[in-house]
Amino acid sequence: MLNKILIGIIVVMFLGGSFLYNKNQELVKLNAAYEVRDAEQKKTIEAIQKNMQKTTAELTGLQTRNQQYEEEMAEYLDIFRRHNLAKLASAKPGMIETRVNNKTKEVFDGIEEDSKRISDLNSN
Amino acid sequence: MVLKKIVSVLAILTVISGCSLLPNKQVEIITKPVELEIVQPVLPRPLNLKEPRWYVVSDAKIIEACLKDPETKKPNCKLGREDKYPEGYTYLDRFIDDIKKQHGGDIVFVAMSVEDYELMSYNTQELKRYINQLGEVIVYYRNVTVNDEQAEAIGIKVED
Repeated sequence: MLNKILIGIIVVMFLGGSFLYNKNQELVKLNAAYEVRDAEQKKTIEAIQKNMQKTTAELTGLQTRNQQYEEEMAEYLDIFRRHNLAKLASAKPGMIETRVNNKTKEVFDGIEEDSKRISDLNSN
Repeated sequence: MVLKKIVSVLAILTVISGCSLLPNKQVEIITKPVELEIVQPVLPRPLNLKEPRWYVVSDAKIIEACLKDPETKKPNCKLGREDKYPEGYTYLDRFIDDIKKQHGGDIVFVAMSVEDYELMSYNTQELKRYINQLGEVIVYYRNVTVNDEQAEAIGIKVED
């Protein structure tokens, strides 16, 4: 009688253990899936943060350089504000003619050089 | 009887341990981000500009250049001045003569006032600024989409 009870208990415990084992395996898989998702999210956040830093640095540089171009332009045009070109040209046309032609060449060469740098970006 | 007890104990131990003694397969997690490769477009060819010749003309008389010292090869006004133009010859006269030479005796030219020249200069500087700033935007997009070394930005030259 006692043996039958013992066998019964063993069978019940075996079935229970089997159920728990299967459940445990399921949880292990679920945990692995969560770990994958966690790792992916961490990597994504890391990539976004890295991209954000890069973008911010580039944008700051872009704004600084744009400001410098504005200043450079204002500096060139300030020459006309500081000097009465009509008066100077009337009094010394030869001198102004030389300067006007030299400056035109300089500005055009500068524009050519700038466009060359942009065109060569992909070959760097 | 003893054998039964041993079998029972072993069976109970196996069940209680939940088969934890059996080896489990370890899951290896490898996360590899997929990077998008953005194909960079072919950039336009650089500008090739031609310089126009500006004439600055007024009714001021041309002052001849000083003669050069044959030894030093430098202009020395004490030696006198060149005699290329007739007395009282003005910049306007020279310009008219140059134009006549260029156009077979005809007087034809496109004129611009000093104020308009200043406007043209302003427009050129605006175009230069626009080209540079647009170039910087290209550099920006290139730098944030390409994972290589930083592209060199357009140099800034500011005269003293």
